[in-house]
Amino acid sequence: MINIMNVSKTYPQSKIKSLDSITVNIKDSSIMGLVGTNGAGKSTLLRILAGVYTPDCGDVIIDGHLVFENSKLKQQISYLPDNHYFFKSTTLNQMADFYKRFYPDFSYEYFGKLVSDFGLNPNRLLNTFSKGMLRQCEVILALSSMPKYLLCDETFDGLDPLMRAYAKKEFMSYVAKTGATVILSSHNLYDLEDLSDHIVLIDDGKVVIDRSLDDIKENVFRYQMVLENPPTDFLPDDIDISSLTCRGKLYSFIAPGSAVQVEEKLRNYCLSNNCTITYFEPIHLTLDEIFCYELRDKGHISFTGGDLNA
Amino acid sequence: MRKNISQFIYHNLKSGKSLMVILTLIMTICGPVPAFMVFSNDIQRLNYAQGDEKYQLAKYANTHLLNLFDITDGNYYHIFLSIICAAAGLVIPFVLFHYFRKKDSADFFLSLPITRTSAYIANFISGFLYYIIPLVITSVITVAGLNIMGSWQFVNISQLLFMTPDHNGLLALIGNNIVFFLLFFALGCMSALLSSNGLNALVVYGTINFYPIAFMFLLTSAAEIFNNDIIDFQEPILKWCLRITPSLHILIFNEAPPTAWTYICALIFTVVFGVIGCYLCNRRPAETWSSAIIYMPVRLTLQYMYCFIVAFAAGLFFYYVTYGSIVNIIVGAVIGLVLSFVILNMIFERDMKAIFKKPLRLVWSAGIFAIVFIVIVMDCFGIFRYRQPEFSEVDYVNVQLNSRIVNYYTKSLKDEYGMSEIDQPEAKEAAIKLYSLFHEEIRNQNYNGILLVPYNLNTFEAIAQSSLPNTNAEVQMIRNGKEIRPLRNKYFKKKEEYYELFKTIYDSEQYVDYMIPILENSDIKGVVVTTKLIEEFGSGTGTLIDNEDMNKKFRDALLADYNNSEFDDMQNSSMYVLEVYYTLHEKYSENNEHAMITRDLGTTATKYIEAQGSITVIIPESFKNTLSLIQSNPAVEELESENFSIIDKISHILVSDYDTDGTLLCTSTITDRQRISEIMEDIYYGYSKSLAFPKYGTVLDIYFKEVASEDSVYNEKYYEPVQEGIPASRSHSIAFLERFSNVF
Repeated sequence: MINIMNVSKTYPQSKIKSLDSITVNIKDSSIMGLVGTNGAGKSTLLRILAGVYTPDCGDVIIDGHLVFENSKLKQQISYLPDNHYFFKSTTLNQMADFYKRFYPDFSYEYFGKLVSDFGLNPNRLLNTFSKGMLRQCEVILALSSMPKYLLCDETFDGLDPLMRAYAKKEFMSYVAKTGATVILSSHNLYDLEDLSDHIVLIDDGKVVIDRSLDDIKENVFRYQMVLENPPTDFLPDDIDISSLTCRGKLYSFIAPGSAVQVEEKLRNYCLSNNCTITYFEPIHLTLDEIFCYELRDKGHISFTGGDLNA
Repeated sequence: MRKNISQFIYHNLKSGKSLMVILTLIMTICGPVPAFMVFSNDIQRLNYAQGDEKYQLAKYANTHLLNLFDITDGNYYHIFLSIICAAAGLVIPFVLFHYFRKKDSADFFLSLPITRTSAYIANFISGFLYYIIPLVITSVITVAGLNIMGSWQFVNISQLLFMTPDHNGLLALIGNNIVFFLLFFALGCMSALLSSNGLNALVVYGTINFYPIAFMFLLTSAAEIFNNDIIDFQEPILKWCLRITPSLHILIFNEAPPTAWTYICALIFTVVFGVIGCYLCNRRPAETWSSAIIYMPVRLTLQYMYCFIVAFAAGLFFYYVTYGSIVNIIVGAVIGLVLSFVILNMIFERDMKAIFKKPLRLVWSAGIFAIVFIVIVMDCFGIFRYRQPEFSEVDYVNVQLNSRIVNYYTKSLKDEYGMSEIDQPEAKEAAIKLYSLFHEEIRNQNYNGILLVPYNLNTFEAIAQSSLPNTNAEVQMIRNGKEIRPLRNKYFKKKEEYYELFKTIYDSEQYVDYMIPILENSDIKGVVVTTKLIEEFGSGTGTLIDNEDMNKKFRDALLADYNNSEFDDMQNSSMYVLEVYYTLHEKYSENNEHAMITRDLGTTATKYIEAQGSITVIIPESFKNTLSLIQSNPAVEELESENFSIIDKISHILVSDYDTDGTLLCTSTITDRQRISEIMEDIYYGYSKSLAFPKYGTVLDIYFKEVASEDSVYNEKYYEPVQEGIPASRSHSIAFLERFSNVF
C-alpha cells in the first residue's frame, strides 16, 4: 500500500512548484497509470516515491514506512527513471551482479529468462547497445530484482512495437505472478489503457483524476445522435456538453455522467423543443480523449471549440 | 548496513581501477624514478663513506630516499608529491560523488537501497583506498628497486629504510602522507558535495585550502607597507590564522618534521570536514544538480572571501607598481573587487549581467573588505595587543642570557643558571618605559632601519650590542606570571634613551651578581673572526680556529687587511662568491671533508655541494691576504669567484632567516633600492651568536675550548659562542683583536 499524503515539492533553484498537496492512495497489486501534461510533476512524484527526492511537506508512506533513506524498504522498490543510467564499459551480466548485491531477491533465473526472451546478449558491452535495447536492459534488471513496487517513468518510450508488446506482457505476467504494485507514467496513453487499472491524472502539480479506469470510462462518453427538426441552438442546460460537432442531423459531443442519465435528459430536452431523437449511441472514450477532455479548461489545449456549423 | 557499505566499496574499487592505475603511474614517475636516478649517481659515494657507516646511510636515506613518502618535507620530490596529494584529494571525491551532479546518475544511485550515510562512508573508505593502494605499490617499487640497485653496489639499503635520524622510518613517513591525504580528501569530499561541477568544487577546495596562505602572504606584504617591518607572527589575529591552517604549513612552508600541533590540526580538520561532508551527503537535495554551489550562504561566503583576497592583492600590487600611497591601495582594491565579483558571477551564475542585478552584494563585499582591512591594519600596528602596563602589574624584569650561552653555562657551572629576575623598582620602571618607548616608536614609525632580528626581545639585545659592554641578554617583563612581548623589531632613532634604560636594568645589583660568574669564567679560549655576516645568516654556523698555526696566520692576515685597507675601500668593496672545489684528500677522509676545509679556511660555507665536492663562501674583496690563505690550502683544488653586488648582498641578507629548529622566523624581500642604501648606511644585525659590522664585513665571536671537540663536527654543536663586547667602529675592532691576541 502506497500512501501519498499532502506531498508538495518546489524546485529550489527555479522556484517552480512541481507538486502541490498531492494525496493519492495506491492499493497493493494494482497497476496505476500516472498521466499528466509535460511538467505536470509525474517524474517528480516518482522520484519522491523512489526516495531520490525529499518532499517539502507531506509524507510518502509505503507499507507503513517512510521511504526516504529507508534502505530495507528500497530493496522492494525498483525505479526505472526516464533517463536510464549504466556504468561505463560494463555488460548486462555485470550490471546484474551489481543489482544482486543490493537487491537480495534478485533472481538470476528470471534474469536469464528475460534476457533470452528479449534476445539480448548479456556479455556485450552496454555502450554498444541502442537506446531501445538499453531500455530493455533496464526493464530486465528491474523485473529481475523481484520488487514489490515498480516505479516506471516513461519506460515503454523508445521500444519498438514488438518489444513494447512483449514488455507489457511481461509486466502483466509479473504483476499476476508476484502481486506487485506498479506505477506507470507515460505519455502514450494507449500503453496505460492496456495495463492500468487505476489512473491518476496530474496537472500543475495537482491531482485532477484519481479513479479506476472503469470508473473513468463509465463516467464520460462521446455521444452520437440523429435529431429530426433540431433546434437552432442545441444547448441542453442540464448537460455539460463539450466537443460538440454537427453535420446535418448528426450530432456528436462528449458529456459526463452515465449514458442512461444523459439519454434521459436529452429525450426530455427534445420533447420540450419539438424534436425527435431517431438515433442515439454512447461511445466509450479512449484514455487520450479523456485526458484531453479533463484538461479542456486548463488552457493547455482548445478542446471546447466544437463547431456547430462545420 | 555493513553489507551495503562493503558492496558499495567493492563496486567503487572495481569502477575505480583506471584511476588507481593513473595515480600509480604518476606517483611512480614522481617518486621512485627520480630516486633511482639520484641513487645511481650517489651510491658510489656511499661505498666510500668512512666512519659510522650506519650514520652515513641513515643520513643519506633521510635526505634522498625515504622522504619521498613524506609530503611534509621540503625536498625536490615533495613538491610533486604534495601536488599529487592535494590534487588527488579533490579529484577522487569528485569522481566518487559524481552522481550528485548528473540527473540520470542521481536517479540511479539515490534510488539504490543504501542510505546516503552508508554511501558516504563507503565512498570515503573507497577514496582512501584509491590513494593508499597506489602509494603502497609505489613504496614497494621504491624499496624493491633500491634494494636491487643497492645489491649491485654492495650497499645494504634495507637497513636504512627503517632508520633515519629525524624520523621513525618508512612507516612513519607513509603515515605522514596518509594523515595529510585524509585532510585533503575530507576537504575534497566537502567541496565536491557543495558544488555542481569541477570548477566550482575547485573554487571551494582552493578557497579553504589555499586561502590562508594567500591571506598570510598578503598580510606579510601589507605589514611591510604599513609598518616597514618584517612580520613576526606575534600578532593575535595573524598568529591564529597560522595555527588553524595545517595544510598551509605543509604545502607552503614545508615545515619538517610536522609538529604535534600540525598533526592535531590536521586530524581535527579531517574530522570536521568529514562530518560536514557526511551531513551534506545526507542533506544535499538531489534536485540541485544544476546549482553552482548548492547552499547560497556558502556561495556568498566564498564570494566575499575571494573578492576580499583579490581586492587585497590588487591594492598591494598597485602600491608596489606605482610606489604610491594608501590612495593607490584603495584604487587597486576597488578595481580588484569589481573584477573578482564579475569573474565569480560568471563562474557561479554563468551570467555577466548578474553583477548589475545584485549590486547590493558588491556593496556588501566592499563593506566586509573595509572592515577586515581595518582590523588587519590595527592588528599589524599592535593595537589589539599592547597596553602599557601599570607599575603594580609588573612582577619583575627578567634579564636572560642568550639560550646558547645559557646552555653552555648551565653545563659549565653545573647549576641552573641563565636568568636573572630583577624586581628592583628602578629596573621595573625602566622596563616599562623601554616597552612603552618601543611601542610608541613603532606606531610613530620612528625608526631608521630594518633590524633583522626574529624574536622580539633580541631587538633590545641588538640595540644594546651597539653600545653596551655586555649584550647577550634579553629583557623580559613579567606580568601575572606571563611574559609581555613587544611587537616589532626595529632599529630605533631614540638609541640614547634605550641606552639609558638598558643601563638602568643592567646596573641593578641583581644583574651584576648574576653576571659575575660569567665574567670570571676561565674557559675563554679565543676569538674567532668570520669573514662575512652573510655566512652567519646563510648557514647558521660560525667558524672556530683551533689550529694554532692557522689561527695565528689568519689573525695576522686579517689584521693586515684591516690595517692596510682604507675605510672607503672597506665600505665599498665588492664581495666575492667564492666556490672552492676540493678533492677527497686522504687527510680529510677520516672526518667530514667540508667541515675540515671550512675550518682550515677560517670561513663559513654558505652552501655545500657534496656531489661536486664544492663549497661556496663569501668574502670581501679587500681581504686579499685572506684570499691567498684560502688558495694555499692543500685541499683546495680550484677557486672560482664572482662579483657580488651590493644590492644582491643586501637582498641575500634580507631574504629569510630560520631558527636552528627550522622555524621560520622572518621572511622579507626588499626591492626598494633607496631603502637598501639607507639600510647600508647604518645597520646593525643582531643574531644569537654573531655580531656584525657590514661596513667592514666582519663578525666577531668568542668561543670556548671545550666546545670544539672532534665529535662536534657530527653533532652539529660545533660552535657555542659568547659575544663579548662589540666595537662600534673599525678602530675598535682592531683594538679588540689586539687586546685579545694574547688569549689565543
